[in-house]
Amino acid sequence: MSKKKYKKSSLARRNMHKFLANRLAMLGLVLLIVVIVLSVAAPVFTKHDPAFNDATIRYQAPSSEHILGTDSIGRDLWARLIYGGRFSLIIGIASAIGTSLIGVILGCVSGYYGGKVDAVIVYISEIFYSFPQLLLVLILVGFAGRGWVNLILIFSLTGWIFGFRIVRSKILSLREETFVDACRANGIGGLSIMFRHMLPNTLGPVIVNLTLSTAGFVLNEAALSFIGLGVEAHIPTWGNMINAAKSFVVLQNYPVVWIAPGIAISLFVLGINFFGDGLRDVYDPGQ
Amino acid sequence: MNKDIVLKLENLQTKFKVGKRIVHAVNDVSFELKSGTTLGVVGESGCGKSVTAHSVIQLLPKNGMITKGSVTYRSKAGELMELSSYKRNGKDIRQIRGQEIAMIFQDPMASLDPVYKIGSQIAENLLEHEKISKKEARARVVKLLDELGIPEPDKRYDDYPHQFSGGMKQRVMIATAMICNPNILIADEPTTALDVTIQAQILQLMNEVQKEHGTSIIMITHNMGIIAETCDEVAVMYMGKIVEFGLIEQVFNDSKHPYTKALLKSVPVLGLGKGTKLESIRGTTPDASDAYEGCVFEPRCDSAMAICKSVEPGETCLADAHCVRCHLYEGGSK
Amino acid sequence: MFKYFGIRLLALIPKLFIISIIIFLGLQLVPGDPISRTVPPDKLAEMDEEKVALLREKLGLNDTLFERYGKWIGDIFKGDFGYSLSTHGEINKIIANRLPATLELAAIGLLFATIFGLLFGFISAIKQRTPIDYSLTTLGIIGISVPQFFFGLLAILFFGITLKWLPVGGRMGVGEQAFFDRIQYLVLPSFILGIVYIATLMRYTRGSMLDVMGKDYIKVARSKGLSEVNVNIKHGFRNALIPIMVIIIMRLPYLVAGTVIIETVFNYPGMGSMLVFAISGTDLPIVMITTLLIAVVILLASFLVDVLSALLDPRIRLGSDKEGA
Repeated sequence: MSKKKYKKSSLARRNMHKFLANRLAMLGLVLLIVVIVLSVAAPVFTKHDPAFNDATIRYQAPSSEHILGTDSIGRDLWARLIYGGRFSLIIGIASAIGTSLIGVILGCVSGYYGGKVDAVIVYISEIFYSFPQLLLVLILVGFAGRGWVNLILIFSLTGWIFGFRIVRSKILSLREETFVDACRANGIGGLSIMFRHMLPNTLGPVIVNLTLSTAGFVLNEAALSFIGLGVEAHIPTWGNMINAAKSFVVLQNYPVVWIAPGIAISLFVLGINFFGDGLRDVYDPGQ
Repeated sequence: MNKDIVLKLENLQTKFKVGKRIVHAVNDVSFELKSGTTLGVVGESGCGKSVTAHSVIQLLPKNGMITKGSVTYRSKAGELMELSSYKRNGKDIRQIRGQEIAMIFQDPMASLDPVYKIGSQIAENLLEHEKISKKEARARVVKLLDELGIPEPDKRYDDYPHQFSGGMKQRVMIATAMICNPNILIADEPTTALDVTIQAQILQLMNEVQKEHGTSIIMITHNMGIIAETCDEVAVMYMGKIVEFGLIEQVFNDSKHPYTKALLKSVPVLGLGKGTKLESIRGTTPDASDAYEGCVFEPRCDSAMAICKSVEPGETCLADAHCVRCHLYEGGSK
Repeated sequence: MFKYFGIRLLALIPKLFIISIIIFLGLQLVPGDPISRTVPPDKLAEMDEEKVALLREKLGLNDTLFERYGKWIGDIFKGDFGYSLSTHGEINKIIANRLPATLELAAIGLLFATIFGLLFGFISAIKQRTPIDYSLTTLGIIGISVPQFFFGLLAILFFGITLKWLPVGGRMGVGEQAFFDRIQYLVLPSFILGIVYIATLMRYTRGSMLDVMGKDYIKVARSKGLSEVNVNIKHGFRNALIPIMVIIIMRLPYLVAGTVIIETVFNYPGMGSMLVFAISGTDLPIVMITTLLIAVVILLASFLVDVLSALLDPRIRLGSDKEGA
């Protein structure tokens, strides 16, 4: 028993070393930490209220008082940027968790039971898969209306296919393993085998997928808010802030207003992608 | 260089860079290949026999390179060329490949490009080296396929690899190698991936080709049986070094090196008594990247002496061209 | 071979049927009375119950679901896509006007992205583990990380406003201007549209090339004395292309989806901006038709994947029934 433990920790340590040696992944991690800390602890980094507007100070240039200046109705841009990160992050992470949950559950059921259940779920997933997620989301937003809660639900409903595919194929191969037979022989029930014995084996790729899909959802949220079909206009998210650039005056004369949130999204997503690629190298080097 | 020698390797050394480590795949290998004969190179997997052969025409992966020694080749026209000095994948070495020295590989299933017709893949070699029309090339390919025992060669010319069986594919590979009538044919484990019955056919075929064209063959294999059947001379390799070299009778009937002896004892021979135990060589091949002192076989050798731990044995030549690297025979004793 | 294609084509019909039902049913679930979006509120207030009921009848809003679906799909087959609820125009006319613009944009974007995606991926694989490979791979990650519309806005600011090299948006119709005047409206949108696609294709091309270059037949090709160019392209790239072609087509719908964003950024009058407009205005018929059109395009693309892989790969084209002959 003690020998096994030693082995496990050495594998973890080797993976850790592998990850630390990946300079891009480390850069990604740093970017992520910076963005997350700034957003979560937003009040520490600014004394301004992101919603407070003062019409007398519209479109101010960056100054010591307003680090990035102010927007079209005189709100502090830096405050909106870091508070806005909160909503973008919540939507991204919540949606990623939502899709992963749906994907994992359906994947387990589909892979473990096989047969007709599997066939039906796979058929549905194929139809979902052939549609670009952004289009599905657009159409659903058309039904449900805009709003950040709606977005999370819609993202979760439309994005589960990737997690589903990963878990299903893994479960399918695990089903053939001896330890599953052993579980069955010992009279352990289907649900317990599925979730307690098989699921933990799929977690690595699922976590990688969860990380990378967070990036996708942050991008989708921004795109939707930019075209005016995303989060409610009064909530500061990065996408809503860039939406201001739809006005030609802002686009041309006040680039800070939209370039700042653009850079924020880019850095965050870049961080996730670098970090996620590093994770993937560690979890499944075959990919 | 003697007139009847077509290829001469002198102190050849090939290294691989794997991450930050350097692996000595081939270390100080020398031998001569006589015209029209077959030289066998035998050893366990990882002993460097394939790399030695690939080094001849510089067919090495990006991380591998010849670091020392030379490969000298006498061309069809009688010119002496130092192949090891040519640039990898450069024009000079490419004119040698396929035309002067051709190769067949271990796995015929993976050796053919799945998207091109069999015939055009053979003709590709011909068209690369000779200025002839596609029609002439086709005629020659069909003729060769016929000689190599492929039925309906004109029809099969237009078939794709997936429509051929393993044995047939290896015939196609022999055709590809032989189409330009090369001086030397390097066969890298040509029968390992085939069924036993097909193996015999392919070896027979290579024998016929050799008689017909006077080709010299380097036969790389781990199978002592194949060596006994096909070769005139044999080099036994261990850890990137030739430990014993000699005529086939010398090595088989009067083997000197403990490794060769052990290798021969581990091969099942027809007529072996029921109670006879096949022996295995104790231990495993050490890591080629580790630096060592003394004889490389010392850790596994039953006849190891004190000197074997510290001093690397040099080459001792006993009878006519029967050479061995072992302290047991140094100083002309035995 | 034709039988194989025939079967594949027939298999599309049930899928299309299911999708059409899902779209139709889904759209029935939209909250609110469709009539209130058909008639301006002030007019609706003037009308009495009877008139409203008459109007409902006329619009077919009282029929059963089944009848409405039959009527809807029947009309579509007749080429009658119905009327827009917001502009009251005939949808087929609106689409006839918008579709060419989007096709033009997507086609140029696809062409451009395919060329660069394959090229960069090929170079990256050939120069594996060199600074060129690392830079291209990193650029690829940046390409999928920066939002498309942000790239678009930056491009407008830089090339359109600061340098004044290219127009900031819009489109010119066929025949309005000479080709060169028209093409400048397409440069920025199609380029930006293609960026994500380039990054994706590059990644797949690199992987596929590396996979193929490790195969034995590449070594055989070298042993024949072929030049590196010949080995890399004739044997390497040609084989790598098979899975890449599948990716190119499979990812096509994503390119199409990208037009929604790009057309909005560049004020480009195509299907994408029309869809956004229709969704904002809850213009159901337009949303329905557009979604169905996209579904048709996607299913045709999947069919095209089968055809192309059969054409490129003799193993699929001829089947492996002769194996062992």
